[in-house]
Amino acid sequence: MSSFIRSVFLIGICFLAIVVLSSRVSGGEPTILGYQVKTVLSGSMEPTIQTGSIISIKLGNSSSYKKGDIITFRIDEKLITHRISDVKQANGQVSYTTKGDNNDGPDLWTVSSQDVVGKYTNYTIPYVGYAMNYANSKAGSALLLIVPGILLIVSALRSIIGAVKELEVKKAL
Amino acid sequence: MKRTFNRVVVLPCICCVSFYSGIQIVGETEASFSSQVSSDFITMSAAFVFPSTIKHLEESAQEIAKSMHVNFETIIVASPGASLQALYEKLTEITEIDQELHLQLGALINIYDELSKYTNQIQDQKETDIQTFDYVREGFQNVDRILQEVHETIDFQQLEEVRSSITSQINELEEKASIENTQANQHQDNSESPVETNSVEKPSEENTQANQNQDNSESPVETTSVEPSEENTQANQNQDNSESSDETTSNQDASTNSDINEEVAEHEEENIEDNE
Repeated sequence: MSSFIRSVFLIGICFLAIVVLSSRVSGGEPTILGYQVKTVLSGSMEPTIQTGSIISIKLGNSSSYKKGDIITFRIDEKLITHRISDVKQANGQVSYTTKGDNNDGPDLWTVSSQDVVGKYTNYTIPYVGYAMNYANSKAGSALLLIVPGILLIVSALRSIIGAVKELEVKKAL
Repeated sequence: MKRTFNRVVVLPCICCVSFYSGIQIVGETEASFSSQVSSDFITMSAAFVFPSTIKHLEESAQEIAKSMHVNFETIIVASPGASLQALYEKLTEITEIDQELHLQLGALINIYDELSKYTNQIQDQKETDIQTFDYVREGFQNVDRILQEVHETIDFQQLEEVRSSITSQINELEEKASIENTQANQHQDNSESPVETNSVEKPSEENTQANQNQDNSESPVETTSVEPSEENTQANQNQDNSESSDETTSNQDASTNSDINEEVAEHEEENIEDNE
């Protein structure tokens, strides 16, 4: 049973590593099976989406969303997640007026369908975003990557040295 | 002991590394706050004239002044030996430059007036700090200096003198040409007048000769008819001499010949009456 869990764990890590590497190489956002995971950094969508939570968004047809959907879109090189308050069609182009649930008015911009990244899937994990935010900091990177890496190397070296010693003892016997 | 160490250390380390790698697939999004700003009346104040406007006016004034100097320098006094055509062309050119200079001076004065208006406007504004509009005063002073330079260098009176001198030269040349023309016409008339007298006289001579021949045929014996014939021959000789001489003498000869011819004709008439 433990070996099964270990193998699944290893497969999962390898899969994540491949996804991360491929996204870094392609320069895009990491996508798993048409989904993206985002950390919500501010609270304009509270109480629907808590600040510091992570949400998943589904990539899809950017012109098929309707009023009331929560969409993630790109404005001025930033990703914003707000609810659609109005859908407009002009010259065959669909554009959306958006509004944060916690805001007192609609946004000043109009989102064209080309700028929409995806739709919120109603799946959220609160507070995980704080941990992720910390993990992406220098201290978090050192704590989660460098220290465990050194420990793993030390452990591996000890295992190798122990194995060599055992072999020498066996040869001596 | 070693195995427990490995399990205690390795497992959390792997968990940390896997968590870190999992973090890398998570992006960031904002649910940005925004608030509607209520529309209030906003009072905006702006300068009534901007430095760029003053600078543009200054540059225009400088360009106009430069162009006026160039135009004025192109006016050169015509040389006395110039031809009539060249003088006419020079006069036309000077007239055009004069008109252009007047237009340019008008434009320069307009710029000066505009800057003067701005300067007066600043002085009228009591609330405005005058130091704020230093650029207006500076621009006005520059254009004023440019206008004074133009007034000093561009002398319209000199331009008028040049034009009048060219006009007088043209008049002199025209008078000279008219005098020459009249003299030439007189010569031409004089050369044509002897031909006319000869053409008039010839018929009378022919008539007299014809009459003489007729008289001779009718009364060949009469002695009285001899005298006119001698006179006719003398008249003919005189006429021949007058044709070979110069024009003035030919006129005099022609007049004397005509008198002689008249006398001959009178004698012939008397002879005819006597014969009858």
